[in-house]
Amino acid sequence: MNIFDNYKNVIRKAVENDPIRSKQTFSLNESLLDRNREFLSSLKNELPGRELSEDMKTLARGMGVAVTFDYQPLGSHPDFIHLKGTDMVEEHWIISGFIDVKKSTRLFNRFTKGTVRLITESIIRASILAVNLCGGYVHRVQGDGLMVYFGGKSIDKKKAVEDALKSFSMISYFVKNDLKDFFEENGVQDIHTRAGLDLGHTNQVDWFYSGVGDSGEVTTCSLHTSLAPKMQANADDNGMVVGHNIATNLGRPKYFEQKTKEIHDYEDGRLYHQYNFDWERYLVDIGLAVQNHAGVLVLTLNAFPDPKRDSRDLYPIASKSKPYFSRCTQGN
Amino acid sequence: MYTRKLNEDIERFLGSYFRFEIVQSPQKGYVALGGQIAVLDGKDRFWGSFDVLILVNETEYPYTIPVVIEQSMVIDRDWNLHISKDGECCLDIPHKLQKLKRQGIVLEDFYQNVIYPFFANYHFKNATGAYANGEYRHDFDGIVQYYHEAFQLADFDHIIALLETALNGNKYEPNRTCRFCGGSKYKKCCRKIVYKLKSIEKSQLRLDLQLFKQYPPKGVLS
Repeated sequence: MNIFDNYKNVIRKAVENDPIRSKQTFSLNESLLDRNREFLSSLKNELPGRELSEDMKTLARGMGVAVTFDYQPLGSHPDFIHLKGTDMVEEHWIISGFIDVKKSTRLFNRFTKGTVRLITESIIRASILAVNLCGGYVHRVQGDGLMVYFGGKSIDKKKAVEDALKSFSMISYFVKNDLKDFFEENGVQDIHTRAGLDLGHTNQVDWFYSGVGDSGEVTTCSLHTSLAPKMQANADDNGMVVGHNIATNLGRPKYFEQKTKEIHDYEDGRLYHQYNFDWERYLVDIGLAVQNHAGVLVLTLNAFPDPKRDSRDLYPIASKSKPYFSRCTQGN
Repeated sequence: MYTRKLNEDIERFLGSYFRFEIVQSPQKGYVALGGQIAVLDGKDRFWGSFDVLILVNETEYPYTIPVVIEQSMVIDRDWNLHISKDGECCLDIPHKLQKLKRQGIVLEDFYQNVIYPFFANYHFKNATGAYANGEYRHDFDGIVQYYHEAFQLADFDHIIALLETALNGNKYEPNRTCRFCGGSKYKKCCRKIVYKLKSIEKSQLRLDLQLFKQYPPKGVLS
């Protein structure tokens, strides 16, 4: 089972049919570009929309999400929509997250901008799926990245922390495991995600309407919303950096490694720390991923053997073993 | 107190395989790694998982063979599945394992090339009715099979003579006719086998010798 296969397949087709990649010409003429535009336009329809694939439904069931779930509309968080157009301010905790895909600029050397656009859109759509599956709200799409909120009035704070980490871990997995090898095969290195997440407690977050008339949005004012993109900038390639509030709420230190430099100095002697989050270990521990013989992560629900498994694919690894049993030579 | 090499290798192993951790060892002198093996095929399709305990001799490492115990009872305690009543997995014929032991193992490599394939092979047999690369027969028959497959030896007297040569360190003129098989030069036939036999532990060779002398041949091996 791979819930991201549909997105990956679109990217593969776009890349395989790219006129620059297939070396048809380096000085592309208009008719060629027109044909490619038409192809990309029809290919875009293959990207999963609101309907979940069977694999996605299996994953959703395993995660305890209804298979009929619907994507949340972009923009205002539904629990604070009533603040739209008002001067009211409401305090409520929220987890703010930023994740983006750092693409090699070489993508533009190797493919047409139409192909690059479809690659970006596929990754963004896959990310939106992961966020929605985990109960998050996409607040804004910013180029190659997302600004996301996790939490709300009827959600347990610890559960929201777990969901946020789960969601961003899945996105990181998609780019690191599903896409990276494919791009490297096509001569594109250094495609990776970076993510930042932080939790602001109720007394640390103001919800309000920012803007004039219809030109505005319900948003948050919080040190922790502001710190999240800074943490994202501090993340390693395919890394995730989270704030101290996230680390303490999850309460499992083995996933967190404190970074040497704090993310914020309160200038009263207190420091606010940031942590590298071991999202791969987390995905395995919560049962959303397993590891193959080489330790490489595979997103799955390990309660269910894959119905498409074929013993011919198991042969290469199984044939390394030739077992023996002896009552007279037991114990080596 | 583990050796530095064991410490480093365990750290590397635990850094690679997240479902494993150090647990209380049931056996003194052994470090115990408890965890879960998920079997995935070449297309990363999931087949099933096993709870296992890996016991590594603290003082002998890397010149040791870890003991692997299947704890989840997924594998029936049936000797035809190459597992003891206590769940100890019979990973391979001792002769091959002893070769690894002599060379010195790296825990992560041993996991990838010996432990993991054993569990993948269980699923292969479950799906197809046979092990992917066959299996050794039980007890002495398996040892006879090993000598046949590894050295193309089937004649018990011939095997006994070579085992005695390997154990006693007898030396023969390399360029003369082979006294064992009648080949034109000893160095080109049976001496090669004697050298290979010497990579097996002497205790195993002694046991093999005893068994070959004890049991009459059963006939032609397939």
